[in-house]
Amino acid sequence: MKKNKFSIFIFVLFLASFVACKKSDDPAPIISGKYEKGVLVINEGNFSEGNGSLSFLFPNDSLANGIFENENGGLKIGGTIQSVNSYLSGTNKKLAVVTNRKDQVILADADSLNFMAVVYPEADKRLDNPVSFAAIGEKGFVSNWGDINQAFGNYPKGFLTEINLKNNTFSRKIALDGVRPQDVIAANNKLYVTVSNGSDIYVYDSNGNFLKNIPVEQSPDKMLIDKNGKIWVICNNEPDYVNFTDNEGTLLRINPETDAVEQSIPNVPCGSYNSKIAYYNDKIYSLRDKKVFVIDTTNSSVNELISNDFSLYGIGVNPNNGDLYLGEYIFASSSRVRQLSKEGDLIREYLVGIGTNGFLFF
Amino acid sequence: MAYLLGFLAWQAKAQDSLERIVIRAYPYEKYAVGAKIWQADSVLLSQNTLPISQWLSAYTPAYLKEYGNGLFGSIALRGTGAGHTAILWNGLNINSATLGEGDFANIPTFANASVALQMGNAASLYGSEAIGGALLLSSFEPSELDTQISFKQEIGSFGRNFWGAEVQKNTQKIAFKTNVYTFNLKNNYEIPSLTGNTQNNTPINYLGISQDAIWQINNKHTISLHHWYNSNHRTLENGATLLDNNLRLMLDWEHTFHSSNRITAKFAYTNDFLRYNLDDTTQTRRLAMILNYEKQLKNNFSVRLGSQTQYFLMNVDAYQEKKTELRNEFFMFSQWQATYRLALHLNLRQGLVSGYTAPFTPALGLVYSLQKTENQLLKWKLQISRAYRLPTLNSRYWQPGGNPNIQAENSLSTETGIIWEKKNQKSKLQAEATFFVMQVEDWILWQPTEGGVWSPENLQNVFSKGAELSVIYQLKIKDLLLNSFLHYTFSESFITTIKNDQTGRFEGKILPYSPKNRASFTLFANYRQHSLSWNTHFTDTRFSDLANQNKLKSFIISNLSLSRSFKLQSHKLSINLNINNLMNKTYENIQNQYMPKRNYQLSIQYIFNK
Repeated sequence: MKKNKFSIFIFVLFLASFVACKKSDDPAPIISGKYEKGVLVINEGNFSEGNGSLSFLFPNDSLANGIFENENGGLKIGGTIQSVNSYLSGTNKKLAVVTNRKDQVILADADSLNFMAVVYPEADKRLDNPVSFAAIGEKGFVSNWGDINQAFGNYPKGFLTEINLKNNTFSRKIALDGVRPQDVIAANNKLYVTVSNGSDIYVYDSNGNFLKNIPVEQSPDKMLIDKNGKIWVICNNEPDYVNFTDNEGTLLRINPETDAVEQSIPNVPCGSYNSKIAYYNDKIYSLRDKKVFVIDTTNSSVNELISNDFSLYGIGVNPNNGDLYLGEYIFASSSRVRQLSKEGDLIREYLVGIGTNGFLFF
Repeated sequence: MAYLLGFLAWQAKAQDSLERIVIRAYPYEKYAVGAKIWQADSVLLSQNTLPISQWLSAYTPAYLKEYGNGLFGSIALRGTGAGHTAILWNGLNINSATLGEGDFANIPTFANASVALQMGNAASLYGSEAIGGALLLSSFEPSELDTQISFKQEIGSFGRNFWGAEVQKNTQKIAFKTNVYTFNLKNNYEIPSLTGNTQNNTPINYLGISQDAIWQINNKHTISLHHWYNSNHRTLENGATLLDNNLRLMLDWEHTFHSSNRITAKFAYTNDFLRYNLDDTTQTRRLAMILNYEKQLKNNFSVRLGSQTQYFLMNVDAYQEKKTELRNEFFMFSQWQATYRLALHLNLRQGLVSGYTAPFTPALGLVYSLQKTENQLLKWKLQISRAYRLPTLNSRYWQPGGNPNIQAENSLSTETGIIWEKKNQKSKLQAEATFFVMQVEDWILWQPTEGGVWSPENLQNVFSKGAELSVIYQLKIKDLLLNSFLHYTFSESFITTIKNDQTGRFEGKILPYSPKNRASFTLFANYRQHSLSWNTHFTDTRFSDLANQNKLKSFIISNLSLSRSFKLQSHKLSINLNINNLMNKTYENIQNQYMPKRNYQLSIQYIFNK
């Protein structure tokens, strides 16, 4: 018994020293994580099996699949991954993994891939077909389609889920009646939400108060931030769901300082829904079926860059070197990922999880 | 070889019976010479209110892909796919014509009097989809009794509530049955999540009515009417709702000339309505006519010639306009008892549909009796056959993506086996071993194409081989009756090619959701008013993907059923307790679709017999 008490005392001292360290102005010691540098591959999984997974490409070109299971004692993500976004909690990099089938938001440490908490729908439907996530300060916002029976009808009941990122708990829902929100993004301390069943982007302040709506083109989908901090949005232009081959949308540039639309590039080949775009150095890349198109934002030109031999579902561009990453459109087996130079030459091919829909670069 | 099982059947055979209306066992038994058939035990069937998917999963060696608890179920017989088993109701294929497959979770066992599963190619007998086999449902089998009235009330775990009633009357001239049922299940069982457990929330509610009437006008004419309406409302994991309303109506007319020469005409109307998510609807109406002329030539040779005509009227949102399709099939069945020991059959079927060619499907088989005495039977059987699956209506007409050039899938298979039966006053042993080899070609797959549109094409070839073993042993010692059923299937199903895949990375891979081994063991004991049934079934590991990179765990599930009945003259009251998943296992059949852990059902059934 004596021995135990002494051990506890030493342990408490040890903890105290730690706390003391943190109180100082020096930054906390950075513990180098396994997944600190490299490419995070997001594999959606298929709807009936909810077998989303994460893969990682390390700087030495080695690949690890099923990294979430590996780092969390074999526990599976257990849902179809709609998006993965990174955010900062203090100086620590975190990930928000949004899945449906099951609906959940998994908050994990980005460097170790250990998950910290999970937000579930619970009885009061805090999540209902969640899609995307963005963080402003210590608040996280998740876009939800709402009840699937109404999401594609005349009056969807979408909403935003606000999460307290300090203690990783649910805060509240912000109703978006009549809206089927798709993407959310944070810029200039404001939150931007695409109204995919209309032609607007809704703007909120960092407390979740509605500020204004920005009229854009029909069916705004994904957004991204360019090197100048401006927001780009792809609008799918109300596609004809029957004859939607060769769909063309519009890319719009919005200034988050003024919330004005500054540039509009029409005739951009894109998907009819769930469009995928990526950005590198004044160029925006857009996927449509087996092709990758490059849009030069300085002169609004649109050109076909790559004609692939299999259909594509995910695209990412490495901000460090402009390498393109393409994910295969397949849900019954592992996707092939192709790494290409910015000129379009194949560097390497990998086999990852199912339905690769995106990439994050660290 | 069909074998009737169960306590009631045993009794019926032993008794002398007045000539009441006789229903021949499912219409094509005579011509299914040598086919491996599993027949449901009538006692076990009567105790169950499960949908057929769960029932087949427990009691047969068939593999059922169960998506959650009762949400959707498809069958995979002999390493084939969901669209390769026909579901026949009184001889009519009731698979969804738009999907070309049947939802086994949408067939309540309560609505049918008899359930049988025929393994292997049977398209020559039953038509499209009978590649892996066929589920044979018979809605009415008149009993020996004059009148029977029964009520059943069941409650159970996860908000389960079942109520059913049946009235049957059988006279010299008319036999009829009316059966109504209603079922509710909250399905709020616990499923694993990242931080412990969450609650599943996929409620199921169905109700239905099944009515039959058979009128024996004289000893030459019989008219039968069958009616079945089932309405099933399900909520899926993401909150989407699915409403299925299925109406089936049938009129059968039979005219007998001499002893075995007869004409039968079957007219049917089916109306399948599906509503997904409150605004996406599919309605398929169908008129069918099946004509048969059967003639006995000489003593030992009989032939049946016939045709099946189906006219589909489709009102599917995604087809953009109303569509119709006319299908004609012509068939000939023949059975020849060539010698005392040798029976042969040759069945032929040819379909005619505008827009594509239906394959010609012959089936040739024999059964040779090595031993045929009063107490022992030893037979060798052999069959070689072709089968087909017509392109689904969706694959032809879906907008966008429907492929007007789509062709039928087809199959060639060979099987052989041994049947052994031995019986005496007290016991009966039936054993059957079958080996099969099958190939399925031009299997339709939906894949993304040029415009990003998903389109079906005849892409996949599969080769499957395996074995089936069944051992049934029945023992009767004074008042104790013991029935034991052991069923086992081994099957290996390989993708030989996927035509548009240049990498060849799927060749030689095992077909997803194709377990190598499936086994089911059931022990049923009855002593006077008490009965007990123990069931255990095993499903082997299976891959969930085409490249065989993800393997799902095997599982063994055990179920216990206890029953006590009280009899007073014509009245009988039975109390039944089912304990399902006795060992409280957490398991998934389809990846991430968890099934309930240990759960209970308690039922009371009242039967009045005269």
